[in-house]
Amino acid sequence: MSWKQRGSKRYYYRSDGRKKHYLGRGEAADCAAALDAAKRTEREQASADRELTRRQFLVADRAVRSFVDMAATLIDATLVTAGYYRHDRGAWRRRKNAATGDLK
Amino acid sequence: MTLPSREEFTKLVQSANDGDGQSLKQLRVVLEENPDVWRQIGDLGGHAEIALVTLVAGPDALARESIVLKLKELRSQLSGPSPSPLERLAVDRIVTLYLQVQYVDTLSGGSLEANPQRQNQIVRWQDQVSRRYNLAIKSLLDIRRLSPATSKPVEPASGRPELRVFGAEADAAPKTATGT
Repeated sequence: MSWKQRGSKRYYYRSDGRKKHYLGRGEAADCAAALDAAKRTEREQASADRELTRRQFLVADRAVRSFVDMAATLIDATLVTAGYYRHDRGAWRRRKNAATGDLK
Repeated sequence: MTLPSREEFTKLVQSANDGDGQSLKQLRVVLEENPDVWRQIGDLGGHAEIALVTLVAGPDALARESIVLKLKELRSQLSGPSPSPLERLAVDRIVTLYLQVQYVDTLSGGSLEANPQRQNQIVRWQDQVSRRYNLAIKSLLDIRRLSPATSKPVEPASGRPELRVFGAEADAAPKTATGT
C-alpha cells in the first residue's frame, strides 16, 4: 500500500503481494488508504499479542518444565533406591536382588 | 555429600536404574544427606504454579482466587487423607500440569479466528503439555501400585520393599501457590 507522487498529485496503490492495484486519488483513495492503515494496525496488534502470548507461555513453561523434570527425577530416584527399576521407560519392576524392608 | 547438579543427579539415577551398584549406593547417600531436596523441588513447583496462575488469571483477583481454590480442591482429591511425600510430589506435578493444560486449551479456544500459524503453534503446545500431563498421572498410579500401603497384600516372603522417603519430613512438604 503506498502513495505515489506524480507532479503535484498523489495516487494511491494497493498491493496484494503479486501486483499493484491503482486506486487513484481523491476521497476514494483517501478512504482506501485509511482502511488499509487500520487493517495494518490491527494485524500488527494481533502479531504483537501473539508474540506476547508466546513469550508468556515460554516463561511459564520453563518454570513448569524445571519443576516437572526435577520432580520426575526425584520420584525415579526414590523408586530406584527402593529396589525398583524400569527398562526404557516401561513399567516399574522390582529388582530380583533388591534389598527389602526398611531402606533407612 | 552435597547435592549434585541437575545433570549429574539425573545421570546418577539413570545409572542406578541400569543396575550399577556403586551408583545406587551413591544415590542413597545423596538422598539421605540432602533431605532438603524435597523442599527445593517443592519450591520449584510453587514458582511454576504461581507463574501459571498469574498467566491464566491476569489482574483479575476473583479469577485468581477461584483458580487457587480449584487447585486446592484438586490437590486434596488426588492426595487422599495421608499422602506420602512421594505421592504429594507426584500430585503437585499433576496439579501444575493440569493448570498448564487448561491454559493452553483456553488459548486454543480463543484462536478460532486466528491464523493457521498460530493454531499450529497452539496445537504443538497442547501436544507437549498433554503428554507431560499423562506421564504425571501415570507416575502417580505407578507410585500407588508399588506402594505397600495401597497395593494388594503380599506374602511377607516376597519382601516387597517399602517406598519410604529418605529424610523427608512432614514439614518439608512442597510449598505451592495454594499454601498447602
